[in-house]
Amino acid sequence: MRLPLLVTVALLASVTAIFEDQVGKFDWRKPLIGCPTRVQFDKVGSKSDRLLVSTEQSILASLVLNTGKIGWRKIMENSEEATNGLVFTKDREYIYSISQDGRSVRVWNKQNGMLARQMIISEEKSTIQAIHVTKEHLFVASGKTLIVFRLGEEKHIEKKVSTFERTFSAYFAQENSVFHVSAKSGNSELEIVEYEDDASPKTVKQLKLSSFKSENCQYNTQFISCFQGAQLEIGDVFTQKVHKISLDFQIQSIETSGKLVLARGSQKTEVIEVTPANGAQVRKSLDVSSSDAVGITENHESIVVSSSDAIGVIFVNSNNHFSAKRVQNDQKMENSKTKSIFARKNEKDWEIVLVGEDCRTEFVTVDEGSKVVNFEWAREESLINTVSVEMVDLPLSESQQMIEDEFEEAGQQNIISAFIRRIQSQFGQLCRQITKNVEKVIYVVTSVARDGNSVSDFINSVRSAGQSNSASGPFERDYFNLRKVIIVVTSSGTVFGIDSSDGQYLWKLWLGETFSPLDSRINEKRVPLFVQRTTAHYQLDGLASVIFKNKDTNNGVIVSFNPMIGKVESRNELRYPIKRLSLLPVHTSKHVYPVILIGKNDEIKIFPPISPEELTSTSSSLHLLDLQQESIQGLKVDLSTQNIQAVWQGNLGLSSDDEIVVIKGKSFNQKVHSQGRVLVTREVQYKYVNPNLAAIASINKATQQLTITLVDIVTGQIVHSANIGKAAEPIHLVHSENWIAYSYWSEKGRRTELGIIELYEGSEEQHQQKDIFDSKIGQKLPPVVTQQSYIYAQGVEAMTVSETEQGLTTRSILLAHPTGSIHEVSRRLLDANRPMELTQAMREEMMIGYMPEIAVATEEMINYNQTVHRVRGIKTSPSGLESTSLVLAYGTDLFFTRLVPSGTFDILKDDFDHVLISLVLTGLVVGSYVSKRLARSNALASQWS
Amino acid sequence: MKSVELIFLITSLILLCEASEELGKVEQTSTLFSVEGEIALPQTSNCAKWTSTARVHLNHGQHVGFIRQDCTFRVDFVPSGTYIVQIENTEYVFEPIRVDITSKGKMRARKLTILQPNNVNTLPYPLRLSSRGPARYFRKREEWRITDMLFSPMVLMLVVPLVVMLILPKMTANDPELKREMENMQMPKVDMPDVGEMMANFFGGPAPSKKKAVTGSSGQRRK
Repeated sequence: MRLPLLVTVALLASVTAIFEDQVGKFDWRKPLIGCPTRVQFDKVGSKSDRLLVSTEQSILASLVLNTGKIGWRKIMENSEEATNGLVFTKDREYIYSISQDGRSVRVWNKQNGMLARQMIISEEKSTIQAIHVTKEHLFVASGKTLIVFRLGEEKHIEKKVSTFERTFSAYFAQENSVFHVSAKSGNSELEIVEYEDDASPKTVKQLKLSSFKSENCQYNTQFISCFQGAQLEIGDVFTQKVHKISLDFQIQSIETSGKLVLARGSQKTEVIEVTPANGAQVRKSLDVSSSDAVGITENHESIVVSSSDAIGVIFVNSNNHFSAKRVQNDQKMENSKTKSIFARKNEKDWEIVLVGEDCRTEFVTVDEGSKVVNFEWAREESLINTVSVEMVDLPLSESQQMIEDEFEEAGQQNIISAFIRRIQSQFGQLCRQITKNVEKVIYVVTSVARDGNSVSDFINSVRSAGQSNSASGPFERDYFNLRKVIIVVTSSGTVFGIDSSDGQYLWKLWLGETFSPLDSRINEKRVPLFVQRTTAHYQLDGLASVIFKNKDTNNGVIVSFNPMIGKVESRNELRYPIKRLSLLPVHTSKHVYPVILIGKNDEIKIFPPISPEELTSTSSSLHLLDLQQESIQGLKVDLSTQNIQAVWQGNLGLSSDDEIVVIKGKSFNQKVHSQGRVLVTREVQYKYVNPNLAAIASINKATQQLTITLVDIVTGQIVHSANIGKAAEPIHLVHSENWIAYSYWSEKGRRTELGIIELYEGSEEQHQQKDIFDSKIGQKLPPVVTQQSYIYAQGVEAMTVSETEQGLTTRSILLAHPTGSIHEVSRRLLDANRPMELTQAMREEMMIGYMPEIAVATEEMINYNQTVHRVRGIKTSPSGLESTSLVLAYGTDLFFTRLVPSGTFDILKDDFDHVLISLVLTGLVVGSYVSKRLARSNALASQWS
Repeated sequence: MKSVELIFLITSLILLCEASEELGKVEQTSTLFSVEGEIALPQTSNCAKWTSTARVHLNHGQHVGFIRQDCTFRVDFVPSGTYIVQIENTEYVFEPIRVDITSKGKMRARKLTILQPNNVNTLPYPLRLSSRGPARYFRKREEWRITDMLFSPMVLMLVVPLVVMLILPKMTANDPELKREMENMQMPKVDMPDVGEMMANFFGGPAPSKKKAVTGSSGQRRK
C-alpha cells in the first residue's frame, strides 16, 4: 500500500532535478555583499591583495583586489536595529569583528574566512562599539563594557562595566599603551583610560572638547576632530591638548587621516594639518564642486578628488596636483556621484575604491607617471536591495516582424496584393534563413581550419555551431522567447536591465538623490514597477514605469523608460504624496496600460491619461481594497469622472488585535487553462476563478491565531474564512487560479506547516458566459472549499508560484529556505484533494495519496548548491515555451534559472544528439545504395555462372 | 526511500554510541544561554575547509552561529525555549536536532521527529551532528549499456525476423521430419522456402558460399 506511493513520490521528485552537466547552462548567480561602509586594503599571505569590506547589510567580506570577486563572505545576523560586523580590525592573520549587536566578537581567519574564535562581550546590545588589537591583546568596547582578551584565548583577562551609557567609544594606540576614549551622553568631557603593557587600566584622564557631539566628530590614530559651525576643534588624545581653528565657511562634514583633517563646506574645502608644535593650520584650499567626492590617501599625504569624468590627486606638501580622465566604459550605465573614497598609495600608483550613492563599488588605479585612470573592476551592490522585478520580452526579430508585416494591413487590400505580400515576406524569410546558414557554414569551416582536422574536431565544431549562443547574436527575441530583459528596481534608487541569458547588465538608471521608496503598511520599502507596454507591438517601443517618492517633499514621482535600452521617456513629479497605485486593466489607443496614482486626499492621476473613448463599459471603473487603521474598505474608482467612493466597509471579522501580514490579489492577466478538474467518478468539478478575490492573512499575536480571509473586493463578500490556532510568523501566502497556499510556523508542532485552500463552484458550472466573471451576479451556492495541511521540515523565507504562458503546465510552488536553497514543490503534492485512501481507480488516475509530510530532498532544490540567502522575493515569468517558467530569486544573491514544473514536454531534451542522428541516417541511406548496387552486380554474376 | 530510513536509523545509533560524557557549560546567572555542539564529517573531508561556508541555524534562522575550525560551534544569547538546530551547508546532509532550554538553562537535546513532536528520544548534550552523507543535487545521465540496446523494441524488431529468416530454414533443411511438420502447419505458403530462395538469390554464389553467408552475419558479407 505504502510502497507504490513512495515510488510515485520518488518518481515525481526525480523529474525536477537537473543533470550535473547542465550546471550553469541556463542559470546564473550573482553573489553580492551589499553597500560598503568600511573598506580596508589588506594583504593576505605574501601575494594576493584583498579588500576587507563591511557593509550596511551586515556582511563582512573579503574581495580579491585584482578581480573584484568575492574571496569569502560572512552573512551575519540580520538585525533591524544595527548593522553587524561593521566595526572590525585586523592583524596579520585574523580579522576581529564585533557582531550580534555588540554582544560578541568573532575572530575570522583572513585567508579563508573561517571562524577561529568567538568571544562574549556582554549580554547588552549596543551600537557604540570600538575594537583594537595589539601584538598581545584585543581591546573591545561595546556600550557600557570595556573588555580585554589575550590573543588566542576566548576568556577575557580584564572586564570593566561602567554605570553610564556611552555615546562615543574609540581606541588609540601609542607605542606600548592603548587609550580608550569615551563620552557620556550630554557631556562634552571625554574620559581617557590608558592601558599599559599588561592590559590593566591605569590612569583616567579628561579631555574637554566643548563642541563634542559624536555625529560631528571623526577620529583617527591620534586626534579626535569635531566641528560646529565654522569652528573646528581637534583634541590630541595623548597629550590632552586641544587645538582650535576657525574657518571662514560653515563646515558640513569632516574627514580625517593621520595628521590631516579635511573640512568640507558647501562652497569650499580646506585641508588642515595638526602638528604638536604648531597646532592646527590650514595647509591647502581645494577647489572642488559640491558634487565631487573627496578622500584622503591612507598612507600618503595626498587628497583624491573624484568627479564624474575625472579623478584628481592633490599633494598636500607641494603644489603638485594632476587630474586624470576617467573613461566612461559604458554609456548605458548611468551612475550616481561618488559617496566615499578609500585610497592607498602604492610605489607607482594610487589604488582607489570609489563607493557611489548607488552602492556601485569601483576600483581604479591612477598611475603617477602616465596620469591615466585604469579601470579595474566595478560591482553593482545596490542589487542586494532589490524590491521589484519584471521580465520583458525582447523585441521581435526581423523575421518575426516580417510575419507581423504580412498580416498588418491584410484587411484593407485585395486578395492579389495580399498574396504578393505573402510571397514577398516568405521570400525574405527564405533569404534570411539562407544567409544565416551560410554564415554558420563559414563559421564551421573557419573553426575547422583553426582547430585541426581530425574527425572529432569536426564534429565538435559542427555541434558548437548548432548551439551558437544567443548572447553574441542580435538583440532580438529568440525562437522560444527564453531570453528576456530582467528589469530590477532596488530600494537604493537604481534600475537595472539585465540580460537573462547570462546576467550581464544591459543598462542602468539612477533615479536621483531625492529618491526614496514608498512606504506601505505591510512591507516597509516599496518601489513599484509596472510594464505598461510590452514589446509585442513592434512599431512601438516598450514602456515601463517606476514609482517612488521625493525624499524632500514626499510627493510621488513617476519615471517612465524604455525597458530595452533604459532610456528615460518622461519624469513627472506629482503635487501630492501617493497613497495607492495600481495598473489599469485597459490600454490606451497606443497600447499603453496606464497607472492610476491616488493621493492622500483622493487626488487621482492617470498616467498616461486615458480618454473616455478608450474606456469600455466593463472597464470604466476600478475596484480597490483599502486598509484603514481600524477597518477595511472597498473603493470604487470611476475612471471617467475620476472620483472615488467607498462601496463597502467593515472589519471582515477581524478584531483590533489582528495584525494583517499579507494581502494577495490576483494579477488581471493570469491565465487559467482549464475551467474544471475531472474527478475519479468522471464528473467535472468547476473551479471558482474569481479575479476580484483577495486573500488576507492576519495574525493575532495574543491568541496565536492565524486567520485567512478571502474577500471579494467588488462586493465585500467574504467568500471563505479559515482560522488556524497556535500559529506564528513567518507567514507567507500565494494566491493563484482557484487556490491559496500559505505557510506558517506552528507553535504546537514546532514545525513549519503548509496549507492549501481550493475553491470550486461544484459540479455544475454556475457562470454561463465564461469570458467575464461578474462578482455582482449572485452565486446560487457558496463555493465548495477543500483544504489540507502538510508538514514541512524547513523554514520558509519567501514563497511564490510558477507562471507559464497558458497556465496548462502543473504549477509549482517555490519555497526559499533560510539555509539558502530554493525548493520546488509540485502542486500535485501540495494539493487539497489528495485522498486519504487510494482506490484502484485513483491509482489509475495517478493520484497521490495523502501523506502528512512534504519531503524536502536536496534533488528538488532548483538552485542546487548555488545558495541564495535572505531571499526577499522570487519572481516567476512565463517564457514562449509552455513547459518553461523563468525564475529570478533575489536576496543577498541574484539567482536566475529556468523551471520546468512538468518536465520539458514540448522540446527535445537538451542532450538530444542531432549530429549523431543525422550521421547515422546518412550512413544508412548511403549503405543501402551501395548494397543495392553490390546485390545487383552479384545477381548478374550469378546469372552468368 | 527505505535505505534512507535505514541510514537514518544507523546514524541515530551512532549518535547514541558516540555520546561524549562532557557536560555542557551552563550560565546560571542570566536568562540567555549558549547552545554548543560539534559536527562530525565523513572521515575523508577536511573540517577546516568545510566550515567557511557553513552556518548553524536555530529555528530556521532565528539565531545564527558559525562553525569553528575544529568543527565545534556555539550559538550565544539564546533565550530559553525549544529550538531546532540545523546545519547550513551545501556539501552534506545533516539530521536536525531539537534542543529544549529550560528557564534555568538546563539543556536537553532530542531527536527531531516533526511528525510526532511529542516523541522523546533523548540525545546527549553538547550536540553532536553527524552528516548523513553528501548532498546530491543532480540526476545521473542515462549511461549507454549493451543490454539496453539489445532489449530496445527497435533492435528486437530487427533481430527476431532475422533469426526467423536465417536460422529456421537451415534447421528445417537438416531435419526432414521437422520440414514436413512445418509444411503441414497451416503457415502461409509464401513464407519460408521462398524467403530462403530469395536470400539465396540475393547473396548469390554457389552452395558453399551460401553456407558462409548464413553462418556469418549479413553485414560482413555486404562489405
